[in-house]
Amino acid sequence: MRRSLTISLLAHAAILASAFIVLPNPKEFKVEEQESIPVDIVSIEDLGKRQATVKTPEKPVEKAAPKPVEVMKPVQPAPEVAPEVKTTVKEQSAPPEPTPEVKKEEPKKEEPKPEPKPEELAELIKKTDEPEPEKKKEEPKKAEAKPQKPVEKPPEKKPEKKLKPKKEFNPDDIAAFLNKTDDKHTAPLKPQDQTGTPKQGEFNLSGNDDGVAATIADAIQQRLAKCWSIPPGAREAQISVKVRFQLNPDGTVSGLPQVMNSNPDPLFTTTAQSAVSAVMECQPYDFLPQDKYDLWQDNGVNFNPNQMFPS
Amino acid sequence: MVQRTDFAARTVAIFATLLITLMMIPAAKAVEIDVNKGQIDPLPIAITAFVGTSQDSAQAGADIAGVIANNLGRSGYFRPLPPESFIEQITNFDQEPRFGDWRQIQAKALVTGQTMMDGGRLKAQFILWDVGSQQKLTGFEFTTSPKNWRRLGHLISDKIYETMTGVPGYFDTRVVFVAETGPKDKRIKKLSIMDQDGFNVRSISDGKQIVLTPRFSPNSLEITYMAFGNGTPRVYLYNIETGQREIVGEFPNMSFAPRFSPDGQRVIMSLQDEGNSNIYLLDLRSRQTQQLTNVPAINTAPSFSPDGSQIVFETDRDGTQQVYVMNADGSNQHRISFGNGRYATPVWSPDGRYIAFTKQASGRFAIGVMNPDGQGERILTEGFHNEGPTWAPNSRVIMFFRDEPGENGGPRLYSVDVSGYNEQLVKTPSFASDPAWSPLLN
Repeated sequence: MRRSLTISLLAHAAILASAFIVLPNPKEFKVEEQESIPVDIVSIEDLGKRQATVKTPEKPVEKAAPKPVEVMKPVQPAPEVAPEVKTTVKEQSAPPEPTPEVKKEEPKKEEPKPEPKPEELAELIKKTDEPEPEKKKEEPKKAEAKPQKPVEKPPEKKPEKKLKPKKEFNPDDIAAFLNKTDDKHTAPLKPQDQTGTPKQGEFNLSGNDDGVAATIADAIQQRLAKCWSIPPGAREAQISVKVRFQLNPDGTVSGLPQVMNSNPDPLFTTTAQSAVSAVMECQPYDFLPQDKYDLWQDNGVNFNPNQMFPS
Repeated sequence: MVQRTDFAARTVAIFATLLITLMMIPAAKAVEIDVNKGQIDPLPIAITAFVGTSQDSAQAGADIAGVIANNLGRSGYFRPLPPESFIEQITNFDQEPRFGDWRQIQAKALVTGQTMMDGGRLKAQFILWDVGSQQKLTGFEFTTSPKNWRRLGHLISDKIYETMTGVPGYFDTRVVFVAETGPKDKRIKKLSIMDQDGFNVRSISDGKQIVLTPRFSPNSLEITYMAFGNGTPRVYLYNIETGQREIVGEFPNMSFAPRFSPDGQRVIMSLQDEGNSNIYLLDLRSRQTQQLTNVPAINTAPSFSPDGSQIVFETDRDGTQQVYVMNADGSNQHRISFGNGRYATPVWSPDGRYIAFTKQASGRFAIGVMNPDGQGERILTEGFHNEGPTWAPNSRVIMFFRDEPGENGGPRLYSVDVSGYNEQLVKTPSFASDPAWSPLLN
């Protein structure tokens, strides 16, 4: 009994001792850990950071790009189709006004006065699309029902960004800078193009699934930037539109993109429409890697028009 | 002991790594992208000839499309595509367009329409389509007398502009200006009115008097201006509808630089007073005047803020002409212009955000804008002589006049975006000065 216990103890001790020799040493393990860091912070900004090593900005960029922190939640189904109804609904109540006014303003000696009667075109629209008007009439109500939730969101994230001291290195600064440079400067870079010294937070994307995710996000971002016409009114407004869309394996958009937030500003409707239009116009997204479909099947995009025109 | 700690650390590290990896999986799935960049080039838009149900209305339909294309193109925010490039010819308004054909020519938006005669009146219907999402963005119907077909084009332009830019339109408006004919030393100056795009020009004065500084009332039926009657310049009111004219107030001395208050009930102007001039407010109903400035200097060119609470004006009380702001009762007069040079003819924008001005520095005249607190001064255009800014009702466009040097030179009207881009000549049959933009007519 005692002998067997001794043997057992010795054997266990031997296994344990050999385990310490055989198991990878701490140095090797640290390498592994380093590789997992990018997983945590991979985002479009990181890609921008990588590119910044090639083109070092001549002067520090003054304004940081916003980095949305909150998770997107659907607020209402497809409010992007609402503009049509909003305008027509408004117009419905308008006709009584224009007619009397217009009658007065033309001199009597002149030709017959103009009597423009703006009238709703709902009927016209019905001709080509029967069920749509009904569906749309419900949407403005829905939008009114829960306006607070999304409206409060944008302010939340902005102060957070601005609290950062300006002199500190901020990867977002470079991302903002890159957003203003020519397309050729922001085009995806091949590894051999990287000639600059890597900066803080630099990492290698090769062979990393999440690095691929960043590359995919960047590719989609660049594509959308080409398709998106920023409405002139939105260029100075503090508006951000969140759009979510699903892609089919062939790169086409499945259904219509959903607008995930809302805002009582009339400019929001126009901006949201421009964002939806950009997503649709950019298809097919057939430049994305087929074997990574799970990475681009579901996409959330924040369209920030004011970032291009910091005031 | 050391080894044991190391072992424990390793175990913890392995678990931590596993945990981190597990946490990363959902993050990798939901890709979130920020798009902070887009196109600010003019939006390519296809405006098809409106389909006519008869020969007359078909001609009107094509003409209306031309007016819309001209309006939107001039705004600088749109690029109307040439009709020759259209692949699909719209022949049936009720049929959905073939969006592939429009995508192929890079059209982002598409306008289809139809015109018809309806009891002697011209009716126009249109739909604005988003080519990318294949959705209808807006659609309306307007009716007018056939002779006013251009106005249908302006009304439709406003709807398209507002839907696509998010800013109200300004096309269904008019401009009053001073048409100048004859040699430079013997100019005949007639008060004239035209559509915002330079069409439908007509005179509203006979040219026997010299007229200056016409200004629209907020209801757009009345204008106020200054004219040299029997030698002494006086401020007049003129009703565009009735053609009636009256002198504003009986003052012994010259009265000039009139402008309406935002409610249209009062006129603010300058009255001369022994080499000086001060600003007065005249109530059009009670005919009572109120003196707002009392400084031995030239105080003139007053303009109300859109809410009626403040007045911007020019004064040389500090030695050179500068822009000052005061409360509507004359209190709290303070200077807001501090740049190099002299500042004149300040005009508050209809949205209250800017004050446009004429600036003279180094022998050149510029048109610029600044914030009501004097910050953010921007020069929009500069040259030999630029003067007299007036705002489009949407506060996005400024019209002004530019004089040319030389014997045969003369003033012409120009418009410029508030960004300073997209300067455009406004074609007029003769030389033109002192433009005043009306509010929206509808």
